[in-house]
Amino acid sequence: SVRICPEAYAKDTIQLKVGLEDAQTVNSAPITMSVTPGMTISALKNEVNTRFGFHPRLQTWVIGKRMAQDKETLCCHGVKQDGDQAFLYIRSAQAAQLTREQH
Amino acid sequence: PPEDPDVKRQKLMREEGQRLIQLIREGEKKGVSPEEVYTSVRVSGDDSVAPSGLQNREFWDGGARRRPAGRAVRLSRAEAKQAWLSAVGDTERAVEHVLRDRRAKVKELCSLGFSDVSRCEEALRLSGGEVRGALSLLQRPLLEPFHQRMWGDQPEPRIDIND
Repeated sequence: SVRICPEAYAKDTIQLKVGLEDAQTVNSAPITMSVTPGMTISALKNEVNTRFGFHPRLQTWVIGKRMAQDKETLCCHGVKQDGDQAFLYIRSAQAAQLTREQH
Repeated sequence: PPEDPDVKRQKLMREEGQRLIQLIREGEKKGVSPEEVYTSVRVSGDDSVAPSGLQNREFWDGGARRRPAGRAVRLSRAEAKQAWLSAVGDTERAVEHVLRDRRAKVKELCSLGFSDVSRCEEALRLSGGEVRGALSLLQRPLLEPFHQRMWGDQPEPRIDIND
C-alpha cells in the first residue's frame, strides 16, 4: 500500500482555485492546483504546460484585478490560502502566432 | 452576522478577476491582445469599463478616463499598443511609460503655444499619440478664417503703386 509522508510536502502548500477561460467559454472550467505562495507565475505556466499542455505563451494569468507577470509570485498578488481564486485565460494560438511545430 | 473577511476577500478576488477576464475575452474577439486590454484598463484607472465598451469603441476612444489622481487620460489604441511593445511584456512598465510619454507630448504641445491641456490630450488621442498630427489638429481651427476668406467673394484690395 502507499502511504503519504506529510514531511515530503511543504507546509505552505495551498489549493488554488483556477478558472480556465478562453474567448469561447461561457462557464469557466474550474480546476484546483497545489501551489506555494512563493511560486512565480513563470513556474506556474511551466507546470500548466507540463500537466495540461498549454504553451506558456498562450497563458494569461489574472489574479484579482491584475494580470500577473512572469517574474511575480502568487503571494505578491495576495494569494495566501486555500480556495483563493485565479483565472487562466488561454489565448488562441493563431493570435499568439504560435504554430503546432513550435508547440 | 458580519461577513467573514476572508470570504469577502475571496469573493472580491473572484469578481475582479472575472471582470478582467471578460474584458480580455471581448478584446480577443476584436483582435486586441490581452496585454493591450490590460494596459488600457490600468492607464485609464477604470476597472468598471463595461465589456460592451470594447465593441463600440467606447473603451478606446470615448468617455473620460480618470486616474485615481482625478486627471482624465484618454488613450488611443495605437498608444496602448506601442507602450506595450516598448515595455517588452512588462505591463506595469507599459503603464508608466505611456503616461510619461503622454506628459512629455502635452508639454511639447504647450511649449508650441497650446496651453489648454485637455485640448492637447484630445488632439493626441485623435492623432494616435503623434505630436505632429495633434499639432495639425490644434492648428487647423486657427487657420479656419483663412479658409473662409480664401473662398470668399470679397475683392482683393487693390494695390496702388502710387500710394
